[in-house]
Amino acid sequence: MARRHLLGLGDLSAGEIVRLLDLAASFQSIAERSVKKVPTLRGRAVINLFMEASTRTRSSFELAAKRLSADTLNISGGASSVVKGETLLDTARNLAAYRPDIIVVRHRHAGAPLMLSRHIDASIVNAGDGAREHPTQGLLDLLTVRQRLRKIEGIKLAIIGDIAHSRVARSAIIGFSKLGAQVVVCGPSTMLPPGIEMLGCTRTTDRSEALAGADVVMMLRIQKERLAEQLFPTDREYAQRYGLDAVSLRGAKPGCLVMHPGPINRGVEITSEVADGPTSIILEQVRNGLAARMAVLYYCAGGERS
Amino acid sequence: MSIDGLRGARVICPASGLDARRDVALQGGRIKGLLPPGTLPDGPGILDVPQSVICPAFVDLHVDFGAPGAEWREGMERGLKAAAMGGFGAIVHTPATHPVNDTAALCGWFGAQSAAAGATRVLPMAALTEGRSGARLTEMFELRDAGAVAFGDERWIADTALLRRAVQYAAAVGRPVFERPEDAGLAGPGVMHEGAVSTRLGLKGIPAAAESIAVFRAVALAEQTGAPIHIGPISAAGSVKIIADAKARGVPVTASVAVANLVWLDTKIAEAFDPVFKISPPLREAADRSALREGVRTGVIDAVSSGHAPWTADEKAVEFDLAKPGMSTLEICLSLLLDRVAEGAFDLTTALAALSAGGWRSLRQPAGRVEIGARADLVVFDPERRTRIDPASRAGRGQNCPADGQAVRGEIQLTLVAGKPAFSTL
Amino acid sequence: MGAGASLPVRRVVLEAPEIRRALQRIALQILERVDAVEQLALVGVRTRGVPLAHRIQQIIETQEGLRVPVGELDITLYRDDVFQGLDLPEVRPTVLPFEVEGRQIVLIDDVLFTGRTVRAALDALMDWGRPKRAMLAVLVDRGHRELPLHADFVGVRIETSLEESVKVELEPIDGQDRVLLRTRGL
Repeated sequence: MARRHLLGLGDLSAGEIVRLLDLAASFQSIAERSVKKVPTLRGRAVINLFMEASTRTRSSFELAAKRLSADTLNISGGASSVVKGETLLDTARNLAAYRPDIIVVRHRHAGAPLMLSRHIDASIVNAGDGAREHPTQGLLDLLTVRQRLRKIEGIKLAIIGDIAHSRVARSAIIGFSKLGAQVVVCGPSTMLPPGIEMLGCTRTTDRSEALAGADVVMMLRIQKERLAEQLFPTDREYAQRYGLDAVSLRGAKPGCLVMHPGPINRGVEITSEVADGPTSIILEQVRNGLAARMAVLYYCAGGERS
Repeated sequence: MSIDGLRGARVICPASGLDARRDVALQGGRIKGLLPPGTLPDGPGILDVPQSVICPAFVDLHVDFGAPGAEWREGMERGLKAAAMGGFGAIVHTPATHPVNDTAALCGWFGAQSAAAGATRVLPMAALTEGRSGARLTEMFELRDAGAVAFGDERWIADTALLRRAVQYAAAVGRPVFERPEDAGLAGPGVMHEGAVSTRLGLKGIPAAAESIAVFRAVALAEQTGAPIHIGPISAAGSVKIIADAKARGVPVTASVAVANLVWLDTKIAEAFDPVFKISPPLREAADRSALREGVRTGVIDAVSSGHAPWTADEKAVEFDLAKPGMSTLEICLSLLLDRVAEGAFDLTTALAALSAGGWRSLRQPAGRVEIGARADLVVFDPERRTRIDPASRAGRGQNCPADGQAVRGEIQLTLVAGKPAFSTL
Repeated sequence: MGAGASLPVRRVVLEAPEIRRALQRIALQILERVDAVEQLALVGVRTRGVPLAHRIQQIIETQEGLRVPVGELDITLYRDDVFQGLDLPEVRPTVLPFEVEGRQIVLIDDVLFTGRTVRAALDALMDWGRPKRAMLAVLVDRGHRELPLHADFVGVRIETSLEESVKVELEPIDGQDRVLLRTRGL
């Protein structure tokens, strides 16, 4: 058996994604009981190599590994030797000398986890590479929606925001469309990249068209840099045209679920009223992130050393 | 051993239209005779090459050995060996060196590099502006006298007014301006073609418009000033169209394309994020590649260059975003074209013209010819034999040759510069 | 045939009626052993321990009119050999519809062999709570313990060699009730 990696949902078949979701569902019950650990990865080492700042995803992976009784080690971009000029490969090779079983990588350059998987003898889990994919986020999004709606097939998902720079959006489009959902992406044309439809969605610059009949809406965070690059004129106009508030949400199906990968820009892409509202499943997403990541670590540990 | 004659080969001279079997007799660094095949008498310096093709040695318009300033990449000596192995009798070296080639002293240094008899000639391109900074013109007369064959910054000049002045000035100096067409603002931090593939890979893209805007600007300036401008390397269908229209109107422009853009597409990067395929200008879509091949076939694109830019493993074995752009292609340039000939994109004569006559035309110099009295700058190759490309035995030092470890079509057997072998397997 | 080589074997050692009687005996023994029957709970170890647990529950209900709670325990994440097979085992949910704390729990499995499964089951059970007491009931005890563990309630003891394997088939999963003894590979 070769090393198992999770580099992107694009590499998995629909069946494999479903299998991971079922696995994640099993891990959810462990999170509910009083002893939250299982001994499955005892003696295994999981290294979190986070070259991009992230508190929530890294904590989620660290906790997931610890709940599986693995030993964990965190390396973050600012503190590591990469700042001193060491290449990513050299950093990873040094870490590989400790024979970790799994390296979880977050990196601002797309393709970095793939490069590592070819050079390092460890399972590589992609915690987000540039704008390419964020597969564990995709899995927890799928898990959360599947639990609420009992299915993915045939539902309508609207993703609104900076699609061009979003790895969360790409993984979501790939994952949800593979499982049979109808996905539409929406945002100002400056934020809709060419050929995005090829990933499995339709596109529109009209918010009400995107929301019409939607079972789930996913709002993406607007980053400050985009305003500086002038992808849109002001936060105010963005919020008016593309933000989600109670009024625009009414255009969706009654009971439409509201998602957001976090952190939220209250008042820009989403109002507090909606983010904290009765159909918001934002906190469930975070909870499910733990189960999804435990499932992924278990799945990757299942590949033998080569 | 001196080579006095080559017997039995198919001689193709695109400039004169010759395509026939001939025995070629050489003397004093020149072609002494072109005889019916089999008539040249035996002798010590006579080689029989009945399986081969003989044509004028190639000239490459865009080469970068990293010399001076970055010799660890390859350096002049190994670079010239690689060029000779690829059948090139002359190469135009980029001015984007460290220091920049904007002084007569450095320009003269380039020319002196091929003083060694029988080595591939180095034709220096001098910078159009001081330090390639786009602000002040270089002393073009001095540079011309020091050997510069063309002027260009190999970089976007934002000030169009300055570019116009530079183009006008260069015309009076008598050398063409080489314009690398890419609007830097529009290209931005892009690392590959902007399209469905870059979207899928999450990499920033360079839209084709960044090139067509620059191509059109160059065409407009050539038309307005009447000064000759060479535009290249181009990579997009839109650019081919603009140039075709310009030529039809009689605008004095020529164009070139890097061989890689005739071979691969942006989808190649999606296979494995392999930084070897990160090049500038980038690999684009199928429609662009078809238009480029058609451009070579019809002659709208005058020349094919190798685009040779060697990099070490350290500079290439990094994240795609950080890798330096470029491939080592001198040794495989002909082979890549022979594959296209075999696929029917264009015929052999067209390919050989693009490698020689087209380049000379872009330099506004007479083409090398295979005719009596001409300098013996020739390449002899076997178009059918397969050669294995091995990084250890390649002359070039770059670790970024896309054909490493593969067998490619065609084998260069002999490269003659003024009758002396720069490279020989015979 | 040389000395030491055995003939290949494939035979049924228990048929459906014998299995039924064994389960009835186990159910009665459990009731005799447990002093406070309201604390009793049955936990079937996946996979075949589960239908066995349900049957024992049925017997107790029919005989005594008592409904004893039944849980299902998945021990995949506790096995010490989980990553050694060719395929990653499926992890299914553990369902325990009662508090483990303070209960007298009977773990139920089909075959007791090396004892490693029982150990994993005990580890898994303890992570759910602290029972007052834990006991083990198995349909077949085939010997060859590698750990110091025993079953409190045994349907049948079979002498086996290490070249043989014991397969329990149960109606809801395999379509019929029987216990097979086979040479490995058959």
